[in-house]
Amino acid sequence: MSTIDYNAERYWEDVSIGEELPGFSVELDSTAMVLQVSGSQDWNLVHHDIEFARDSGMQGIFYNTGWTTGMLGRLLTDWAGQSGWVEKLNFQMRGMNGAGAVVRAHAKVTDKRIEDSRALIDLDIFLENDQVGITTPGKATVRLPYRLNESIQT
Amino acid sequence: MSNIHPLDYDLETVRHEWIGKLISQSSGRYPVEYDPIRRHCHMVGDLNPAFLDPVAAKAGPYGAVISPPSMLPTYFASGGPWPPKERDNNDSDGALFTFGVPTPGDRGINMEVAWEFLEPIRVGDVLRLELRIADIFKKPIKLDPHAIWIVVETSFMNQHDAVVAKWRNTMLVHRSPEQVTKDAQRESGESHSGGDA
Repeated sequence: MSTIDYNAERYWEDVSIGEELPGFSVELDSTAMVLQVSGSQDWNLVHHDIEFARDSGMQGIFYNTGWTTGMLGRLLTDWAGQSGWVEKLNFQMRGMNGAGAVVRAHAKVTDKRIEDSRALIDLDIFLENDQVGITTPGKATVRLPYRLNESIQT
Repeated sequence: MSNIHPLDYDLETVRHEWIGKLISQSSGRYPVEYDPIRRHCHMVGDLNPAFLDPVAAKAGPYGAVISPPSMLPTYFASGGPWPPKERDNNDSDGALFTFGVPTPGDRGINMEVAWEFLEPIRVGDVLRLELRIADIFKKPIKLDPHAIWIVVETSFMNQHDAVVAKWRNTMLVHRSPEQVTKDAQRESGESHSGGDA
Protein backbone atom coordinates (compact mmCIF):
# COMPACT_ATOMS: atom_id res chain seq x y z
CA MET A 1 0.00 0.00 0.00
CA SER A 2 1.01 3.60 -0.45
CA THR A 3 3.08 5.43 2.15
CA ILE A 4 2.01 8.80 0.79
CA ASP A 5 0.09 11.06 3.17
CA TYR A 6 -2.51 12.40 0.77
CA ASN A 7 -3.97 14.71 3.43
CA ALA A 8 -0.70 16.57 3.91
CA GLU A 9 -0.04 19.93 2.32
CA ARG A 10 3.06 20.86 0.38
CA TYR A 11 3.86 24.57 0.66
CA TRP A 12 5.56 26.59 -2.05
CA GLU A 13 8.13 27.94 0.40
CA ASP A 14 9.30 24.42 1.23
CA VAL A 15 10.18 23.48 -2.36
CA SER A 16 13.71 24.03 -3.67
CA ILE A 17 14.89 24.40 -7.24
CA GLY A 18 16.75 21.22 -8.17
CA GLU A 19 14.62 19.10 -5.86
CA GLU A 20 13.73 15.70 -7.28
CA LEU A 21 10.31 14.15 -6.82
CA PRO A 22 10.16 10.63 -5.33
CA GLY A 23 8.49 9.18 -8.43
CA PHE A 24 7.50 5.56 -8.89
CA SER A 25 7.97 2.58 -11.21
CA VAL A 26 5.56 0.28 -13.00
CA GLU A 27 6.29 -3.06 -14.63
CA LEU A 28 4.54 -3.46 -17.97
CA ASP A 29 3.31 -7.02 -17.60
CA SER A 30 0.18 -8.49 -19.15
CA THR A 31 -2.03 -7.15 -16.36
CA ALA A 32 -0.69 -3.64 -16.90
CA MET A 33 -1.44 -4.00 -20.61
CA VAL A 34 -5.11 -4.77 -20.10
CA LEU A 35 -5.39 -2.11 -17.40
CA GLN A 36 -4.16 0.55 -19.87
CA VAL A 37 -6.98 -0.36 -22.24
CA SER A 38 -9.59 -0.55 -19.48
CA GLY A 39 -8.42 2.63 -17.77
CA SER A 40 -8.14 4.69 -20.94
CA GLN A 41 -10.95 3.10 -22.97
CA ASP A 42 -8.60 3.51 -25.95
CA TRP A 43 -9.39 0.65 -28.29
CA ASN A 44 -6.83 1.44 -30.99
CA LEU A 45 -5.49 -1.99 -31.97
CA VAL A 46 -1.91 -0.82 -31.95
CA HIS A 47 -2.08 -0.74 -28.14
CA HIS A 48 -3.28 -4.30 -27.55
CA ASP A 49 -3.05 -6.39 -30.75
CA ILE A 50 0.54 -7.43 -31.38
CA GLU A 51 -0.10 -8.57 -34.97
CA PHE A 52 -1.74 -5.27 -35.88
CA ALA A 53 1.11 -3.37 -34.23
CA ARG A 54 3.68 -5.33 -36.26
CA ASP A 55 1.65 -4.81 -39.44
CA SER A 56 1.88 -1.08 -38.67
CA GLY A 57 5.67 -1.31 -38.61
CA MET A 58 6.08 -1.41 -34.82
CA GLN A 59 8.09 -3.96 -32.85
CA GLY A 60 5.04 -4.72 -30.75
CA ILE A 61 2.24 -3.03 -28.88
CA PHE A 62 3.03 0.20 -27.10
CA TYR A 63 1.25 1.94 -24.23
CA ASN A 64 -1.22 4.65 -25.15
CA THR A 65 -1.54 8.37 -24.52
CA GLY A 66 -4.13 7.94 -21.77
CA TRP A 67 -1.74 5.74 -19.81
CA THR A 68 1.18 8.11 -20.43
CA THR A 69 -0.85 11.11 -19.25
CA GLY A 70 -2.05 9.16 -16.21
CA MET A 71 1.49 8.15 -15.21
CA LEU A 72 2.72 11.75 -15.38
CA GLY A 73 -0.41 13.08 -13.68
CA ARG A 74 0.05 10.65 -10.78
CA LEU A 75 3.73 11.59 -10.54
CA LEU A 76 2.67 15.18 -9.88
CA THR A 77 -0.40 14.66 -7.69
CA ASP A 78 1.41 12.12 -5.46
CA TRP A 79 3.83 14.94 -4.66
CA ALA A 80 1.71 18.10 -4.78
CA GLY A 81 -0.23 17.58 -1.55
CA GLN A 82 -3.92 17.96 -0.86
CA SER A 83 -4.31 21.50 -2.25
CA GLY A 84 -1.69 21.31 -4.99
CA TRP A 85 -3.10 21.76 -8.49
CA VAL A 86 -1.53 20.67 -11.77
CA GLU A 87 -2.02 23.69 -14.04
CA LYS A 88 -0.03 22.51 -17.07
CA LEU A 89 1.14 19.13 -18.28
CA ASN A 90 3.03 18.89 -21.59
CA PHE A 91 5.01 16.00 -22.98
CA GLN A 92 6.45 14.48 -26.12
CA MET A 93 6.23 10.79 -26.93
CA ARG A 94 9.68 10.21 -28.43
CA GLY A 95 9.95 6.53 -27.62
CA MET A 96 7.58 3.69 -27.00
CA ASN A 97 6.86 1.87 -23.76
CA GLY A 98 6.13 -1.74 -24.58
CA ALA A 99 5.62 -5.12 -22.97
CA GLY A 100 8.22 -6.31 -20.48
CA ALA A 101 9.73 -2.93 -19.67
CA VAL A 102 9.87 -1.28 -16.28
CA VAL A 103 8.92 2.38 -16.56
CA ARG A 104 9.93 4.94 -13.96
CA ALA A 105 8.14 8.27 -13.65
CA HIS A 106 10.37 10.99 -12.22
CA ALA A 107 10.71 14.77 -12.14
CA LYS A 108 12.90 17.64 -11.05
CA VAL A 109 11.96 21.17 -9.96
CA THR A 110 13.39 23.71 -12.41
CA ASP A 111 11.87 26.98 -11.18
CA LYS A 112 9.54 28.54 -8.62
CA ARG A 113 7.73 31.82 -9.12
CA ILE A 114 4.75 33.94 -8.10
CA GLU A 115 2.53 34.92 -11.02
CA ASP A 116 -0.77 36.79 -10.61
CA SER A 117 -0.80 35.79 -6.93
CA ARG A 118 -0.35 32.12 -7.87
CA ALA A 119 2.57 30.27 -6.26
CA LEU A 120 3.91 28.13 -9.08
CA ILE A 121 6.48 25.36 -9.40
CA ASP A 122 7.90 24.41 -12.81
CA LEU A 123 9.20 20.90 -13.35
CA ASP A 124 10.89 18.74 -15.94
CA ILE A 125 9.04 15.44 -16.03
CA PHE A 126 10.03 12.10 -17.50
CA LEU A 127 8.99 8.56 -18.19
CA GLU A 128 12.14 6.45 -18.36
CA ASN A 129 12.14 2.90 -19.64
CA ASP A 130 14.74 0.36 -18.46
CA GLN A 131 15.13 -0.95 -22.02
CA VAL A 132 15.38 2.22 -24.13
CA GLY A 133 15.92 5.12 -21.70
CA ILE A 134 13.80 8.28 -21.61
CA THR A 135 10.75 7.79 -23.79
CA THR A 136 8.66 10.73 -22.64
CA PRO A 137 10.21 14.05 -21.64
CA GLY A 138 7.93 16.89 -20.68
CA LYS A 139 7.27 19.96 -18.57
CA ALA A 140 4.67 20.72 -15.94
CA THR A 141 3.54 23.59 -13.78
CA VAL A 142 2.01 22.94 -10.36
CA ARG A 143 0.28 25.55 -8.18
CA LEU A 144 0.90 25.15 -4.44
CA PRO A 145 -0.46 26.87 -1.35
CA TYR A 146 1.89 29.30 0.34
CA ARG A 147 2.05 30.31 3.98
CA LEU A 148 2.22 34.01 3.30
CA ASN A 149 -1.23 33.73 1.76
CA GLU A 150 -2.49 31.94 4.88
CA SER A 151 -1.15 34.65 7.16
CA ILE A 152 -2.82 37.32 5.02
CA GLN A 153 -6.14 35.52 5.08
CA THR A 154 -6.14 34.79 8.82
CA MET B 1 -9.85 5.56 -43.94
CA SER B 2 -8.80 7.15 -47.16
CA ASN B 3 -5.54 5.54 -48.37
CA ILE B 4 -4.98 8.35 -50.86
CA HIS B 5 -1.89 7.75 -52.95
CA PRO B 6 0.81 10.31 -52.04
CA LEU B 7 0.99 11.40 -55.69
CA ASP B 8 -2.69 12.34 -55.52
CA TYR B 9 -2.45 14.07 -52.16
CA ASP B 10 -2.65 17.87 -52.29
CA LEU B 11 -1.45 19.08 -48.91
CA GLU B 12 -2.13 22.77 -49.60
CA THR B 13 -5.74 22.06 -50.52
CA VAL B 14 -6.19 19.94 -47.40
CA ARG B 15 -4.65 22.66 -45.22
CA HIS B 16 -6.84 25.33 -46.79
CA GLU B 17 -9.98 23.27 -46.29
CA TRP B 18 -9.32 21.93 -42.78
CA ILE B 19 -7.18 24.28 -40.67
CA GLY B 20 -9.43 26.24 -38.31
CA LYS B 21 -12.37 23.97 -38.98
CA LEU B 22 -14.62 23.14 -36.04
CA ILE B 23 -14.64 19.35 -36.07
CA SER B 24 -16.70 18.46 -33.06
CA GLN B 25 -19.05 20.02 -30.55
CA SER B 26 -19.58 16.90 -28.56
CA SER B 27 -21.49 16.57 -25.30
CA GLY B 28 -20.84 13.94 -22.69
CA ARG B 29 -23.03 10.91 -22.88
CA TYR B 30 -23.09 10.63 -19.09
CA PRO B 31 -22.13 13.04 -16.32
CA VAL B 32 -18.67 12.67 -14.79
CA GLU B 33 -18.83 9.36 -12.90
CA TYR B 34 -16.88 7.61 -10.16
CA ASP B 35 -16.07 4.41 -11.96
CA PRO B 36 -14.19 5.70 -15.04
CA ILE B 37 -12.05 7.73 -12.62
CA ARG B 38 -11.48 4.61 -10.50
CA ARG B 39 -10.49 2.59 -13.59
CA HIS B 40 -8.10 5.34 -14.66
CA CYS B 41 -6.46 5.34 -11.22
CA HIS B 42 -6.21 1.54 -11.24
CA MET B 43 -4.40 1.78 -14.61
CA VAL B 44 -1.50 3.70 -13.05
CA GLY B 45 -1.74 2.54 -9.42
CA ASP B 46 -2.99 5.91 -8.18
CA LEU B 47 -4.42 5.63 -4.63
CA ASN B 48 -5.17 9.32 -4.07
CA PRO B 49 -8.47 9.62 -2.12
CA ALA B 50 -9.23 12.92 -3.86
CA PHE B 51 -10.01 10.76 -6.92
CA LEU B 52 -11.32 7.61 -5.24
CA ASP B 53 -12.96 8.18 -1.86
CA PRO B 54 -16.22 10.18 -1.77
CA VAL B 55 -16.08 10.64 2.02
CA ALA B 56 -12.47 11.82 2.13
CA ALA B 57 -12.94 13.98 -0.98
CA LYS B 58 -15.99 15.67 0.52
CA ALA B 59 -13.83 16.87 3.41
CA GLY B 60 -11.04 17.97 1.03
CA PRO B 61 -10.48 21.27 -0.79
CA TYR B 62 -12.88 20.53 -3.65
CA GLY B 63 -15.81 19.10 -1.66
CA ALA B 64 -16.25 16.09 -3.96
CA VAL B 65 -14.34 13.46 -5.90
CA ILE B 66 -12.53 15.15 -8.79
CA SER B 67 -10.99 13.93 -12.01
CA PRO B 68 -7.18 13.64 -11.89
CA PRO B 69 -4.98 15.48 -14.42
CA SER B 70 -5.46 13.03 -17.27
CA MET B 71 -7.15 12.34 -20.59
CA LEU B 72 -10.45 11.80 -18.75
CA PRO B 73 -12.02 15.10 -19.94
CA THR B 74 -11.99 13.71 -23.49
CA TYR B 75 -13.87 10.65 -22.24
CA PHE B 76 -16.44 12.53 -20.19
CA ALA B 77 -17.12 15.13 -22.91
CA SER B 78 -17.55 12.69 -25.77
CA GLY B 79 -19.42 9.53 -26.62
CA GLY B 80 -18.25 7.57 -23.63
CA PRO B 81 -18.23 3.79 -23.38
CA TRP B 82 -19.53 1.07 -25.66
CA PRO B 83 -22.00 0.89 -27.37
CA PRO B 84 -21.06 3.79 -29.65
CA LYS B 85 -23.15 6.89 -29.23
CA GLU B 86 -24.80 8.24 -32.34
CA ARG B 87 -22.63 11.07 -33.61
CA ASP B 88 -23.63 14.63 -32.91
CA ASN B 89 -24.72 16.53 -36.01
CA ASN B 90 -21.59 18.65 -35.99
CA ASP B 91 -19.22 15.68 -35.88
CA SER B 92 -17.63 14.82 -39.19
CA ASP B 93 -17.00 11.32 -40.52
CA GLY B 94 -13.87 9.72 -39.16
CA ALA B 95 -13.81 12.08 -36.20
CA LEU B 96 -12.46 9.36 -33.93
CA PHE B 97 -9.12 8.98 -35.69
CA THR B 98 -7.89 11.61 -38.14
CA PHE B 99 -10.83 13.86 -37.28
CA GLY B 100 -11.89 13.47 -40.90
CA VAL B 101 -8.75 15.03 -42.35
CA PRO B 102 -7.78 13.13 -45.54
CA THR B 103 -4.38 11.43 -45.27
CA PRO B 104 -2.38 8.93 -47.36
CA GLY B 105 -2.01 6.63 -44.34
CA ASP B 106 -4.43 4.98 -41.97
CA ARG B 107 -2.18 4.28 -38.98
CA GLY B 108 -1.73 6.83 -36.22
CA ILE B 109 0.68 7.62 -33.41
CA ASN B 110 0.24 10.40 -30.88
CA MET B 111 3.39 12.50 -30.64
CA GLU B 112 2.87 15.52 -28.39
CA VAL B 113 0.32 16.45 -25.78
CA ALA B 114 -0.26 19.72 -23.90
CA TRP B 115 -2.94 20.07 -21.23
CA GLU B 116 -4.09 23.03 -19.19
CA PHE B 117 -6.28 22.14 -16.23
CA LEU B 118 -8.18 25.27 -15.30
CA GLU B 119 -10.98 24.23 -12.93
CA PRO B 120 -11.79 21.11 -10.89
CA ILE B 121 -13.95 18.56 -12.71
CA ARG B 122 -16.24 17.00 -10.09
CA VAL B 123 -18.31 13.86 -10.16
CA GLY B 124 -21.73 14.92 -11.42
CA ASP B 125 -20.43 17.65 -13.73
CA VAL B 126 -21.63 17.53 -17.32
CA LEU B 127 -18.90 18.24 -19.85
CA ARG B 128 -18.87 19.21 -23.50
CA LEU B 129 -16.04 19.96 -25.87
CA GLU B 130 -15.18 21.97 -28.96
CA LEU B 131 -12.40 20.56 -31.14
CA ARG B 132 -10.72 22.43 -33.99
CA ILE B 133 -7.94 21.57 -36.40
CA ALA B 134 -5.00 23.86 -35.59
CA ASP B 135 -2.40 22.69 -38.10
CA ILE B 136 -1.65 20.05 -40.72
CA PHE B 137 1.81 19.47 -42.12
CA LYS B 138 3.98 16.82 -43.74
CA LYS B 139 7.09 15.58 -41.95
CA PRO B 140 8.76 12.34 -42.99
CA ILE B 141 9.40 9.57 -40.49
CA LYS B 142 11.51 6.45 -40.93
CA LEU B 143 8.40 4.36 -41.62
CA ASP B 144 6.82 6.74 -44.10
CA PRO B 145 8.25 9.69 -46.07
CA HIS B 146 4.69 10.94 -46.59
CA ALA B 147 3.58 10.99 -42.94
CA ILE B 148 1.03 13.70 -42.19
CA TRP B 149 0.93 15.45 -38.80
CA ILE B 150 -2.38 16.78 -37.47
CA VAL B 151 -2.61 19.24 -34.56
CA VAL B 152 -5.94 19.72 -32.81
CA GLU B 153 -7.00 22.11 -30.07
CA THR B 154 -9.87 21.25 -27.78
CA SER B 155 -11.66 23.25 -25.09
CA PHE B 156 -13.73 21.51 -22.41
CA MET B 157 -16.66 23.26 -20.73
CA ASN B 158 -18.81 22.23 -17.78
CA GLN B 159 -22.54 22.74 -17.21
CA HIS B 160 -21.86 26.33 -16.07
CA ASP B 161 -20.05 27.10 -19.36
CA ALA B 162 -16.77 27.47 -17.46
CA VAL B 163 -13.75 26.31 -19.46
CA VAL B 164 -12.34 23.56 -17.25
CA ALA B 165 -9.49 22.30 -19.46
CA LYS B 166 -7.69 22.85 -22.77
CA TRP B 167 -5.89 20.22 -24.79
CA ARG B 168 -3.52 20.54 -27.74
CA ASN B 169 -2.66 17.24 -29.37
CA THR B 170 -0.26 16.40 -32.19
CA MET B 171 -0.80 13.12 -34.01
CA LEU B 172 1.05 11.71 -36.98
CA VAL B 173 -0.75 9.55 -39.51
CA HIS B 174 1.41 7.13 -41.48
CA ARG B 175 1.01 4.28 -43.95
CA SER B 176 1.64 0.66 -43.05
CA PRO B 177 4.88 -0.82 -44.49
CA GLU B 178 2.71 -2.88 -46.86
CA GLN B 179 0.96 0.28 -48.11
CA VAL B 180 4.29 2.09 -48.52
CA THR B 181 5.57 -0.78 -50.69
CA LYS B 182 2.38 -0.87 -52.75
CA ASP B 183 2.39 2.91 -53.28
CA ALA B 184 6.08 2.84 -54.22
CA GLN B 185 5.29 0.61 -57.22
CA ARG B 186 3.15 3.34 -58.76
CA GLU B 187 5.65 6.06 -57.83
CA SER B 188 8.38 4.05 -59.50
CA GLY B 189 6.20 3.40 -62.57
CA GLU B 190 5.26 7.05 -62.98
CA SER B 191 8.84 8.25 -62.65
CA HIS B 192 9.84 5.80 -65.41
CA SER B 193 6.96 6.80 -67.69
CA GLY B 194 7.64 10.46 -66.90
CA GLY B 195 11.23 9.97 -68.02
CA ASP B 196 10.09 8.43 -71.30
CA ALA B 197 7.62 11.18 -72.13
